[in-house]
Amino acid sequence: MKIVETKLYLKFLGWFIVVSILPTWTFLSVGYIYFPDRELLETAVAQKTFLLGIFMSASMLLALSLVATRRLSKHVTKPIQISVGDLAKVTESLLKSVASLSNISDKNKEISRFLLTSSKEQSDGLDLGGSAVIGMVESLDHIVIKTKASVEDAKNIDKLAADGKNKSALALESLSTIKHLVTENQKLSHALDVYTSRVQDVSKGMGVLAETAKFLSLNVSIEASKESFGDEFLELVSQIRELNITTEQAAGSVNSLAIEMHGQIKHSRESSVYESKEADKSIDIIGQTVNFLTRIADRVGSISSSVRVISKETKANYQEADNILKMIKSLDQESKSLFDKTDEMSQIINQQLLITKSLNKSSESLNKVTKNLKDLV
Amino acid sequence: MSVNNRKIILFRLGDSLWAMPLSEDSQFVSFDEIVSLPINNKNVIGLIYNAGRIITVLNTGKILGESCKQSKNNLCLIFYSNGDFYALAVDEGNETIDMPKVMADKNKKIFKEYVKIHNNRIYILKSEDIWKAAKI
Repeated sequence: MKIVETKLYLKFLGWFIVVSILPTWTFLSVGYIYFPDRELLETAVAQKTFLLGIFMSASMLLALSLVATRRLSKHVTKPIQISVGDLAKVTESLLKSVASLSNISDKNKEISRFLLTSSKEQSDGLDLGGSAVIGMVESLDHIVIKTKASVEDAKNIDKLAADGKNKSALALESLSTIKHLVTENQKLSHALDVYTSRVQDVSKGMGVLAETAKFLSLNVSIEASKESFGDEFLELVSQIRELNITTEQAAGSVNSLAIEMHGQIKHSRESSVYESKEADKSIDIIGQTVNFLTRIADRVGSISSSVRVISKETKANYQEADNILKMIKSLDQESKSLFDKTDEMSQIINQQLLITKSLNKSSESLNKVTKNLKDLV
Repeated sequence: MSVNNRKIILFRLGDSLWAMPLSEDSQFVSFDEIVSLPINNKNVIGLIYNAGRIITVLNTGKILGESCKQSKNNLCLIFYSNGDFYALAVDEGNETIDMPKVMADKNKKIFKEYVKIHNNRIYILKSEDIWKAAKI
């Protein structure tokens, strides 16, 4: 820059010298050409003319120097102006770039903060997920144990249902036998009823016989009281009276026996009917019980198979939970590394922010320089 | 055949024992069919046929009073009176015994004679009293 300025000044000085000497030399050359024998500066006119020439030369020099300065300045300042304009543009674009870089840095900072927060939350969530999966694994352990116990219980219930079914079938057979016996008992009661009616007929006959004997006894007693019979008749009367008493007692016994038999048979028949009804009810109930136990056995079988499926699924879930736990551990490690990387990125962004600030300052100072240059130009 | 008047025939009517003096034709009989009479006398039940005899059966319960309820056992005690055979409808015949000491119930106008057996009063139905009560 200094070299260029020196060259310019040298050119300017050379031009000044040429311009300032040229009129004088021209005047003197013209004088010597037209007046070779005269002293040109001896007269007042010549002196005045010379001074006038010097004055005019100086004036022209000044004017020419002004023109030259103008033209030189045009030649010198034009590239500077262009350079300053380019520099202003560069400064402006640099400012814009710095501003966008600052915005990007701010966004990066926000993203970095978000990533930090997110990685922290992710780490916390992974911790919670890990503890939840551990709890789930423990629950699955309990479920596996309970499922095994349920399988054993279902097997026991199945056995009990099968035993109950067999016992119910035996009870059904026993009840069928009881019903058969009740039917036989009813037949026997019917036969006994017939016998009782016959005994009652016999009892009625004996009653009639006793009544007749009583009449006979009473009337014989009356006849014996009429004083016309001897001791033998009185003995006969006594025997007839004994016969009457015996017959009455026998008839009474037979009658009471028949009544008792009738009552017993009636009671037995009612009991048989009641037992038959009860046996029918019991058979129905036991049949329903057998059906119920069969259903229970079927349901228990399906429950047992379902419990086995649950056990298998629980084991599979246990393995899946183990895989999830492993995955959570790896994710936790990844999260920690992400956290570290995010931390590093945050530090880089901070450095970037510092650089951006320094760039901003440089841009401002460059802007100031550009303004100064503009003002200088 | 002479009749011992010192004997009585006991019979049951309702809840009480009654007595009738022993007569020549005294006899307990039972009957199946009885022929009602076309007369309006509540003291006569009807006629029965027994051993070639037609016997008028008297309603003993009505004769003795409304309080003495009589069941229908178709049993009667025959006695002979005024040339005809009559019978007292009874519930149950009883023994013929020697007549104990006869006493009289002064509060009664008819059937006032009675005997005591086991401290129970057994009133004696004499034929004269029966005709008075029956108003036949």
